[in-house]
Amino acid sequence: MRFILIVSVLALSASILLMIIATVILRFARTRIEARSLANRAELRTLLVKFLSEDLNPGELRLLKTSGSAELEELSETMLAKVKGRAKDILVSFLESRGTVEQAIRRTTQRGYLGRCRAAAFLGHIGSAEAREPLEAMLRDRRRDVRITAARSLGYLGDPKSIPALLTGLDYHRRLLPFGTVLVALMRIGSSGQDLVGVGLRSGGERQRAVAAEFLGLTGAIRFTTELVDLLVNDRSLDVRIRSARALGRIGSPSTITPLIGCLDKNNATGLRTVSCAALAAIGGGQVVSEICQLIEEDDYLISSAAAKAVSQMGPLGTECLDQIAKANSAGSPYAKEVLARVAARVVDKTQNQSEI
Amino acid sequence: MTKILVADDDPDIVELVNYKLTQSGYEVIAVADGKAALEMAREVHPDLMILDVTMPFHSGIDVTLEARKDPDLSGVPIILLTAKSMEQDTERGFAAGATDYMTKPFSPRELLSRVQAVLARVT
Repeated sequence: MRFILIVSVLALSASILLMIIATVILRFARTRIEARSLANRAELRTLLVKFLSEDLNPGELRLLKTSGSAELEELSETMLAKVKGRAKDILVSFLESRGTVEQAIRRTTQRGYLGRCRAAAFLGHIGSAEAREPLEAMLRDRRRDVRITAARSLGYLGDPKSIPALLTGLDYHRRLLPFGTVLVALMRIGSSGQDLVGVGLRSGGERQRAVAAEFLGLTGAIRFTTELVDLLVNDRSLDVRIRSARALGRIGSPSTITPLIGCLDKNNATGLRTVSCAALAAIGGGQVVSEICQLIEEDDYLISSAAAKAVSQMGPLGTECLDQIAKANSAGSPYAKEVLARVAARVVDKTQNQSEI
Repeated sequence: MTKILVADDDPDIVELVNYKLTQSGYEVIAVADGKAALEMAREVHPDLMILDVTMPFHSGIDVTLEARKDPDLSGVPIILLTAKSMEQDTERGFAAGATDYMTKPFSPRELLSRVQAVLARVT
């Protein structure tokens, strides 16, 4: 009995000792591999940087071009997101000559979602036109991360042809694209996409109309003023109406003052009224100042403070109106005083900053 | 030799900037964080600093503010090289006292031109 116990203890100790030795060896090996990989990466980085600066001698150039190292591919892909201009052109043609675009397109359908994400990001940075269709297909990927990366990459590609797919992705059942991601992608594509986004304004679902209104406002699409006014007045979605009001403020056409003033009506939702206030302040004009000044006296503090803030941005006419309300000792006086104090503090802050610099 | 201090925690960027500037005849001292950037700047008194904004310990903006308060470094031109490309980020950079602001991704050639222009303005 005692003998069995001793043998068991010895066997257990030996196993533990073996496990410790194995762990130490594994750790040592891993550290060595990591150190070698880092050194290799540093060497490749130097070579790549020289290549991007067009300073490689023929021997180094041959070495780089014939290298089949996965680390070089990875490093080049990483570098792609960090440079622009001539350096990027060199890198893109280098990667294209190695067939990396075709490889990345193949990876867009692979099983691991991280691989799909990496492929989508790479295709966006390399900016190859043939990447558009595979990226559009990825907008319906089952993984949200993949969909987001693909949308961003379509923004980097900057091809307006991808706009319908981006807009449709906003309303695609349970595989939705986030609103902000689509808006940023559209902004990267820029004002050349206004016509295609305008289609979403007329025929898309609620989220499409909302993103289209934001985009058209941000890109100053004055051609779409009539459509935006129509949404502002008639759309069934409050969100779309609010975003249309904001867009009209950004576009700044005086022809939209009347419908925006109409939105200040007490029967409308507070959100629409406050955004309309800000939009009118952005457009400006004497008629607007008096309309918004009246709102400072309202019972709803959200409206009063939004109106006071809007008026404070309307130059001397606005300041004069705020002064009058502040002195009147009325319901709106506290809001007017608060905004005037903030304006004064901002002026002091700015003066101090300038003198420090 | 004109000394340029480069602070960035991304080794790819450091290598790119270092190579481009060294090839153009500048002496480059590279560090990987904001704290080291300040310490090194006080030690070597560079002729120009190129700082990333998002760095460990101190941001490029903090380093710029500190440098502007330091009598020995207050006149050293600073170029902020950063991925932050919003209008308010640029404003913050200039308000802190930066001489120039460049966004990533960047062109190494453009960076070199800006370095030359900034140094020409100072000397």
